[in-house]
Amino acid sequence: MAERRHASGAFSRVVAVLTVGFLVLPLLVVIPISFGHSSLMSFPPQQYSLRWYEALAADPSWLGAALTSIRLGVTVALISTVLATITAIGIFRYQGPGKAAMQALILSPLVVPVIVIGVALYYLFSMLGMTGSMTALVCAHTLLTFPYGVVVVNSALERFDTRLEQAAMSMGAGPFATLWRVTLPIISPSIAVSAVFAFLISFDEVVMALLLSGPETLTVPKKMWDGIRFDLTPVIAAVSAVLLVFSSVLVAVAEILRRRSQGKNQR
Amino acid sequence: MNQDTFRQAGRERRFANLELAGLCKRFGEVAAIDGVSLTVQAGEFLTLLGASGSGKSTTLMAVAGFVQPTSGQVLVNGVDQTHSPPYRRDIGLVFQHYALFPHLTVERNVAFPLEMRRMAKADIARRVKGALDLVRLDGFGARKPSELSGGQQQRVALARALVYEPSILLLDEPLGALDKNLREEMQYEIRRIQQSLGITTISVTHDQQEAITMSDRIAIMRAGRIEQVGTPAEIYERPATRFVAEFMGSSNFLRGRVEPGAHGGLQLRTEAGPVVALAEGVPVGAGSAADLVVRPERLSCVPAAGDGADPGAIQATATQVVYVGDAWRVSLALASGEHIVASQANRGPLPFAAGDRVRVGLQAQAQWAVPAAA
Repeated sequence: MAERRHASGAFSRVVAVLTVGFLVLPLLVVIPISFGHSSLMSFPPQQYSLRWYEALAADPSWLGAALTSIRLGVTVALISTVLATITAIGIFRYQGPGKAAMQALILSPLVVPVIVIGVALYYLFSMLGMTGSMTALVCAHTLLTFPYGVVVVNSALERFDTRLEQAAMSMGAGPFATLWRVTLPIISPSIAVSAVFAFLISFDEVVMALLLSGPETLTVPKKMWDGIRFDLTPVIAAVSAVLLVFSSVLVAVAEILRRRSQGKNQR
Repeated sequence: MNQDTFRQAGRERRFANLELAGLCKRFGEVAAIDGVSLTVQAGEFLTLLGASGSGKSTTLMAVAGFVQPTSGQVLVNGVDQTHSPPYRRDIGLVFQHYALFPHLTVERNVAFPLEMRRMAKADIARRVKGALDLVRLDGFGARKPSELSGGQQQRVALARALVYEPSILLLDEPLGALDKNLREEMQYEIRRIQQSLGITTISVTHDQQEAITMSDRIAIMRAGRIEQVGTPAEIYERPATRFVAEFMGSSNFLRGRVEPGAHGGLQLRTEAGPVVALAEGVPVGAGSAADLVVRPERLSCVPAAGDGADPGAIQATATQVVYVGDAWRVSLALASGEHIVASQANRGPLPFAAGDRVRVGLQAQAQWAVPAAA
């Protein structure tokens, strides 16, 4: 019995290692390439250098794209999180008919293929003459990140003890004061997590960007895409490596927030 | 404001009397409460006692304003509050699991209701200190609720519910989450605080011991209705129904028939043998079947003498004797086929053992009886 458990432990360890390897190896290939010297992407590099990072730093168009992406991501994160929090609280409290239908509708952007939404939005914004505008990109990305935000905030509300709201009201707090002083502070770590994820989703989103971005609104993923298609240089690898570090930091922040939120709800 | 002026402020307040008039709450076909009428005097501690599903919590939540009654009224000092939202009712509510705000310190928790009333900062600080002193938690203000024990959290919840001097205090199973020793200690503690403030209080519990030690009056609830209201002694000594007698501690019942007795009173001819005089005011009439209510601690057992001629005693066989420390719990099989339990105080070795024949004596004074169960 003990031996079998040991064997199964070894088996799951092997599977775990293989899975992690499968997920991580492509990243581990990109990073060495970015430190190569050759003008062709080669793995493993014959010679190491920082020239592609220097090239990246010297090219102002990459910095411009990064600023566009960050501006877009922050806007999307703000709008999407506010909407998602309001929606999640509304759905959580609503007990009437049609609740399931509403939930399905809210989550539908997760199910509908992104390219379908993208094409639909492309036609819509073309009619409105808004393709290439920041507004179009913000709308499109918010549509994608909003359902995730609702899911994250809703799961925090499921853990939330609604008697705390009753306690607040019994002490004279009206509905707004109860929400502002009790409910929102307690679920705030999850709201922050939902904002970080909205930013990340927007930051590496490429389909909507391909369809809707213009010269004024060139995002990093779109510029990478163009780079791969038109002049394939190891600068792309350097960009990838920078993005990888940046995203990892954000995910780590989100994870810390998530742990704090769980600690808070323990009694 | 120190603890004493906190109390003084409490006494000077006009505490509310509360009236429930024909309160009903239906959830679809099911009536959670079904015509509850009750008056709670200013300063009184009333406990709603009942099993789960008896409607006691629903009644409390209707008073708090979290349950909208289907019909009936909640009147505070004669003013209809039935449809006021909870935050306009001036109540203090203590939950079973305390419902302290986990993101706020003890101080900020207690300050919360005062902040909601937009009180000046200095006043808030003074009152919070007074309230924490009152529940003997001075020095704990800077801690988070998660750093406190269950009993301490309970005290914070109480301080938070009292600090703004609400006119009514509601306690929902206030001691349900505490272990036994702490529960007993807190019973007296809550009673002390309630009496020192003189605040009108309604408590909900399923623990009859808690109800007896804390309350001025107890309302026994069953299936959404009030079965009996009275002081703890009335409920215990003079139960209106067999249900109440069973709910309030362990009871024995001896079946019999009521007949006219001496001096215009009533007496009960029990199937077990003895004929016993019934106390004045028993809820039974001559000619009806009734159950004599006999508390185990009021029975005395002695080994059966040879002839057993005492007509006031009951012949029985001890079927089981269990040592419970301060007493013996003796199970008895009567000749009538009934089974009863006697509790014999531990004043030395018991003069009989399981299997022995014993004579069971009732006390000489008039006894209480309830209508026989169908």
